Order: sequence, then structure tokens, then C-alpha cells
Amino acid sequence: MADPSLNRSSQSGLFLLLLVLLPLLVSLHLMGSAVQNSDELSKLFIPLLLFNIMGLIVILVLIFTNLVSLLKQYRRRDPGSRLTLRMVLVFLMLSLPPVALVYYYSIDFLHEGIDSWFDVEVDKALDNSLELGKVSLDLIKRQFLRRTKQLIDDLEDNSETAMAVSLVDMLNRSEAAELVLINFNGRVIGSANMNPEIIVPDKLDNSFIQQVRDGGDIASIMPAENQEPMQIRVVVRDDIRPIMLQADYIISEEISELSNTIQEALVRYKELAFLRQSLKFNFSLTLVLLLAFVVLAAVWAAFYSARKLVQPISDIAAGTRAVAAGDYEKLVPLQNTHDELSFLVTSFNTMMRRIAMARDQAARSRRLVEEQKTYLETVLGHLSSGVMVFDRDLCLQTANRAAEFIFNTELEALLRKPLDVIGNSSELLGLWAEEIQVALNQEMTEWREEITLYGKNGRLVLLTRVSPLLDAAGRAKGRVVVFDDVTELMQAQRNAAWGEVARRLAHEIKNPLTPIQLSAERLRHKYLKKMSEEDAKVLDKATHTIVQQVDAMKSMVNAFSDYAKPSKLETRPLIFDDLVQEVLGLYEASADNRQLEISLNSGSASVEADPVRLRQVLHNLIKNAFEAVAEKTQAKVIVRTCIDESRDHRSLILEVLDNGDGFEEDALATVFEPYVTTKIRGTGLGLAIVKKIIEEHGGVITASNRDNGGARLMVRLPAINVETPQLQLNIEPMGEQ
Amino acid sequence: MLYCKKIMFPEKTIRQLVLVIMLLWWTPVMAFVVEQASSRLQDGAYFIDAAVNYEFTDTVIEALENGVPITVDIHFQVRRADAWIWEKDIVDMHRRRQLRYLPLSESYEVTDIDNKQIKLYFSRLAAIDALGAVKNVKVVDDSQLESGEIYLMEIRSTLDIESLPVPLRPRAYMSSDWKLSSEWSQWQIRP
Repeated sequence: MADPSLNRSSQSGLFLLLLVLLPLLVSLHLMGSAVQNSDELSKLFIPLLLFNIMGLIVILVLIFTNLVSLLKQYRRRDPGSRLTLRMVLVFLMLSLPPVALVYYYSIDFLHEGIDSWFDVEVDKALDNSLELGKVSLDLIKRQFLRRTKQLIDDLEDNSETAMAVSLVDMLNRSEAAELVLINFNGRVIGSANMNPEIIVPDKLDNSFIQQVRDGGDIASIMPAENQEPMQIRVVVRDDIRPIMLQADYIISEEISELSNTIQEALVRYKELAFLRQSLKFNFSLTLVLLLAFVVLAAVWAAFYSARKLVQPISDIAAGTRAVAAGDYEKLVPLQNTHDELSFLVTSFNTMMRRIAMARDQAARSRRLVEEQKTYLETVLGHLSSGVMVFDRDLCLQTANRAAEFIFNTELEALLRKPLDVIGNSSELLGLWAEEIQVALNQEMTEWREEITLYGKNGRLVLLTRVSPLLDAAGRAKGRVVVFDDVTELMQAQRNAAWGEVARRLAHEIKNPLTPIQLSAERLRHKYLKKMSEEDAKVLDKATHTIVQQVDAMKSMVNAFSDYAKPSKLETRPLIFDDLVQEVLGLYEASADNRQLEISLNSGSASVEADPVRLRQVLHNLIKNAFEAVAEKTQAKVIVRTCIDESRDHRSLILEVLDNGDGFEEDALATVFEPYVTTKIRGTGLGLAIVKKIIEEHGGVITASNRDNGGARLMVRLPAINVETPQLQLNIEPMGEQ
Repeated sequence: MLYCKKIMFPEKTIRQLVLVIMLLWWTPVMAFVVEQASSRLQDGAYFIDAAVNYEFTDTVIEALENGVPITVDIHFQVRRADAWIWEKDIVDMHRRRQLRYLPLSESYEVTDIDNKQIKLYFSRLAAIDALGAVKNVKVVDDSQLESGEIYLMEIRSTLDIESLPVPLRPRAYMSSDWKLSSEWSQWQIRP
């Protein structure tokens, strides 16, 4: 579609062009008429001339502005400026020479034409005609002068009255139309006129009177005045008397008409000859203005046309630059024409639209992919299962947070690294990588295995599944490994199994123990006094042993029963440090040579707990620690508390450390399981019960060996009423169990 | 593209320029002098007598000798002495006279164009004197004027370029040789 603003702009330019040029053309035409024969238009000559000059100045300024603009564009090497300049020059070279030629020959023809109106022969003939007329009239004048002289000589009277009366008679005898007798002072003595209506004669001009008085008679032609026929006025003086006679003779109508014709023709010819230079000037001026108009209009039109022709090419050049700069939105304005340039512009715009659409489609796809990727990352990030994706070359492509958590390793740095490099990053990962290596090499096979690993933090059981990663065509392009840490789950299952064993033991063993014990006591009571001393001694020892062992078995069964039966907690908020301090108070007195180091830093932080059960935990842990260092000379037990704020929630940490022998590496993973003990007299239920109570309070307990020897047990419980800030957590490195 | 958009014509400057050009162009040369201008009340009307001394330039005399009729315009005005500029004149009257050379009789013809009266003179000076002779020209009736009010009578004469032959007019418009005029000659009357 055509750009409406461009069309409007183009039409406005054309409109302005016509607005300036058309009135100027009309004005020039009117001026041409004004300098020729138009009376009305000649009054507008100066306004028209001014208007034309102003119009030409306006066009000149427009051309100058265009030229300056074009030169600036040329220096800036703007697209299209060179072509525009070249086209302007071509237009000018094509238009100016013909105009200059026409102007030259027009001026020449004009001057020659006007000069040809005036011929020397005609000029001479008219002068001769005038001279002939003058000679002819001179003859008549002399004739009338002689007759008039004769009339005044014939006037014999001296009396003014008599002379006046004689005038009528003289008029009748002469050919004069009027006779007037005047004295030297110009006073009319008497007059006679052929026309009886004229009583008072015309007053004689003073110059005439003066000339006649000085002795010169006058015979003068009086041209037709007020539609009257031509007359000859003769004024003569009397040689004796101070009087003069004026006689007006009417020239014959034929001579009068001929004389007038000659005079008018001559006057007209002389006037035209005089106006010749003016005519040349006028026509030349008009022609110069017309030439200036044509030349300036041609120059302007050259600029206009060149720019209009070059504009689409410049636009396309600018459009290609925009495309090169990555701007696909720039469309080239479409000219309102239907030529090849318009087709080129349309094609370019279509191409641009398609490129823009393709770019938008690609952007949408990319955005969709990114959204899906984000979605997947979010899902993977919140999965409790570890997920790792390998490509065909077994390079790690993706790993979620759960994977990092399970292996306790930063996996982001290992992305795009091969499996063997990943395996070298940590002991656990190395063991795990060896286990899944075979499955990863089998592209299209589903693989599932429970892998048990032993690291420095204990046993880790990973339920691992390896699946092929398929592309759209169904071909394997990598492997997806999903693994779950089922260590806790298996532990829970084991604990449940042990609970069931304990319950059954309590039921199957405890019940027969009482009859056994009663039977043994009855045997002793009934037969001890009846037996010989020697036999009585044996019986006494045997029954005593039976009763003692039955008690021991009862104690053991009760302990199992306690472990197996579900607890009924009576919880309330407890200030943790106070509770720990209360329990430690019992051990401080009996610590003797074993050094007990206490560091309680959780302030007024509380836990929601059953105080009886929690005291049992504390007793067990501290008692175990003291027993572990019983054989040591520099025994040292450390009990400390603090608040851990490094995670999303705040936790109370209790650590019990000793410098004993620590846990055996093989037993580290099972220290919290029933019947696992290193002590000679231990039931193997102490730490199992501790763990059970801690878990019932929503906490966790971990056991680890200290780097410099000794065991470390750490309890983490959810905290309430924590005052911030608390002392910084200072926990020795450990592995969760 | 609108090529003329950037061109800003300072309208005020152009107006001033045109005004200056027009003034220079149209400022007449004061070659004529109105002498002895006077008015008199006679028979209930005011008559003006004056003598206009025409000093024609050589260009005008050359044109006259070559048969070009020369027309002069005598302009009469009567208005209230303290009238505003836009107040209409009581009298605004023109009298035109034409001077023409007749080669056959070698005389000069003075024509009063308004009343078609023609007078002949055998010398140019006499003809020019007659051309400027203003005698008994009735300008206003006494009844048209308010008693006691002061009025301004004015007379001026100019060469009438509009009456020249058409081909001569452009040059006459552009040449000071042809833009001849007199100053306004003014005097007051109180009816």
C-alpha cells in the first residue's frame, strides 16, 4: 500500500509548484498584453512586473535551497544524491540550450521586426508630403497676405467709425470669413463676420500684435479648432495709421482635409518611430522575464523530477541499510505510480514483511522454548529426585538441584564435561559413574538399579533409572538419568521391621518369662529346705541364676517394647539451652578427670518438645560420649548449641563431640539401627531410641567422625522464639546420615 | 518530498522590501510648481485661479516634439481643515489638459479634455503657459460648506502617465523623467 503521508507530501509539492508557477505564467501573459495594446492592463504593469520579479525570486530561492541541500547530501554521500545531481545536470543540459537558442532568435527577430516597420523611404516620403503641404499652404498664405494688404490699403477713411463701417463692404468684396480691425494696443476697432451670429471676434494673441506692430505681417495656418475647418489667419499693419487688419480665410475643404491627413499620418509615424525603442524595451523585458521563468521553472522541475525519480531508489538503499542493521520494520514508502520502480519498492516491502514475519516466528519459537526450558528447570529444580542428562558423548547437559544436593557437589561447573571428568570431581560421583557407565553406553535400553555407595559421610543408597532421550524422529540423542536417595526410606523400612520384631519379642518372650521366674522361685522355696546342703547350694545357685537372667531378659524385652511402641508426646515450649544446662548439671560434678566443655549459644530460642523424652536423648548422647572416652587419659567431651540460619528455616543445633575412637567406618551407616553397638553391655538400642525421639520432634540426628579423631553427633531441631541476630553457626564439616 | 518546506519567507521583511521598492518607484519628481493659487467667492460659489509652472524634462519634450501628446492632471480638493484622514473630501476634482505638437502648422495645441476646448499656440512656452493657466475654475458651492468652519483648499498637478501611448507607459512607470508632479498647494477658507 502507498504511504499516505508520502502521497500527501508529493501532492503538496506538486500543488506548491503549480501554485507558484501557474499564477506567474498568467501574470507574465498579462504583462505581455499590458506592454502591447491593452489600456486597462497597462495600469497593472508595475504590479504585474513586481509580482513577476517576486515570483522569480521565490523560485530562485527555492532552487538555491534545493541546490545547497543537494550539495550537502552529496558531500555526506547520502543515498541517491549522486544520481539526483547527475539527473539534474542532464535535465539542465537538455533544457537550457534550446531555450537559449529560442531566446536569441526571438530577440533578434523582435528587433529586426520592429525596425522593419520603419522604412527610410516612407520616412522621407512623409517628410516630403509635409513639406509639400507646407509649400502649398505657403502659396495660399502669400496670396491671402497680398489680398489682405490690398484691403487695408484700400481702406481710406481715417475715422475709426468709418473704417468699421467699411469693413462689411470689404468683407463682401474679399474671400475672408472674418475681418477685424485692431489698433496697436490690441483694441478692436471693428469687425465683420460672414456668420452673423458671431458678433464678438476672437481676441488676437498678444504675440501676434507685438510681431505685427514691429513691422512683420503674419500669415498663419489655424488648424481645425473645435471641429471647424482649417483657416489661414492673416494680420497686416497699415503703413501710415496705427491699425492692423486681421483676416481669417477658410481653406477649401479638400486642401484642409488633405493637410490634416498628412499631418496626422506624420504625427502618427513620428510617434511610432519615437516609441520604437520603448516597444523593443517592453518586448525584450517581457521576453527576458519569460526566459527567466522558463529557465528557473526548468531547473526547479529538474530538481523535482530528479528527486522524485531517485526517491524510491534512495528509500530502498536506506531500507537495505536498515536490514543490515537488523531493523526489519522499516518499509520503503510506496510512490503513487505504477512503474518499474513502484514494482521494485513493492517487492522490497514484501520481502521485508516476510523477513519480519520469519523473525517474529523465530522469536516466538525461541520464547516458547525458553518458557518450556524454564518450566522444565523449575520442575526439575523442585523435584526431590536427582536428574542428570547426558548427550551421545556422555557429556553432562543438565543437572538439577536435587542431584547437587544428593552428591553434595556443585554440578554447574561440570556441565558439558564428559562422564569421566565428572567422576573425578568427587568420590561418590566417581563410584556412581562407574555403576551407570554400562547403562549409559546402551542407547536405547531402559535400566533400573539400586546402587549403594559408601562415602565419608556414610552409606548412600540411590535408586537409579537410566532412560534414552529421544528426539522428534525417535532417535536417541542422549540419556536421562533419574535417581532417588532412598537411604532414609530404607532406614525407615528397617526401623519399622525392627519395631515389629521388638513388638513380637515382647509378646512371645515376655509372657513366658514370668511363669519361668515364678516356677524357679517355687522350686527354690519348696525344695531348698528339703535338700542336702550340697544340693541346696546347687539349687540355690541355679534358681538364682534363672531369676537373674529372667530379669535381664525382661529388662531387654521392655527396652525393645519401649522402642517399638508409638510415643505419646506431651510437648510444650522449652528454652533449649536451659534444658541442656539442667541435664549437663548432673554430669559436671562427676566429670572428675574428664574435661567437659560446654558452649550454649542459642540464647532464649525454644523448641516445642516433650521435656522427658528430650532429657532421655540428652542423657543417652552425653552418657555415650563419656563412655567413649572412659579409657582416654585426656578425655574431652564438648557439648554446644547454636542457631543455624543458613537454611530457609531456623534450626537449633546440638552437638556432642568426644575425642574417643569414633565410629568404625563400616558401622557409621548403621549406628542408629537397633542391635548395633560397640559396647560389651549395650543393648544396641540407645542411639536407635535417640533417633526415634528426635525424628518424633521433627528433627534429624547425624553421626560422623571428627577429622582429628572422635565422634560427633549432631541434632537439628526446629526452633521457635528466636532472637536475632544470634551467634554465627560454627559447625564442623560432616555428612548427613 | 516537499522541496519547498524548508524555505521560510520572512513575510514582514518581504512586505517592507516591497514597500520600499514601491516608494522609490513611485516617488515623483517635484518638477511642477503651483504659483499664485487663490480662491474667491463669487455668485455663491468658490472659484480657483492659479498658474502651474510646468518644467518638463528633456525626455518629455522629446516625446512631445515627436508627436506624443502630453497630458497633465490638475487635482483640486476641498476638505475640512481638521478632518481625519479617512474623512471624505468635500470636493475631489480632476481637470485634464493635453499638449500636442502640430508639425504642419508648427504650432502647439492645448486641449481642455473636460470641455473639449482646443487652443493653438505658435510657441512651446506659450502653450505650456496656457497649459498651466487655471482661471475661474469653480470648485465648490458655498452652500456645500458650513459657515464658520475652516476648510482646506488644495491644488496639485501631475503628468498623467496613464494617458501616454501604451508602449511608452512601462518606461514611463520606471523612469523618473516621466514621474513629474507638483507639491500640494494649500490655503484655508472660512465661509
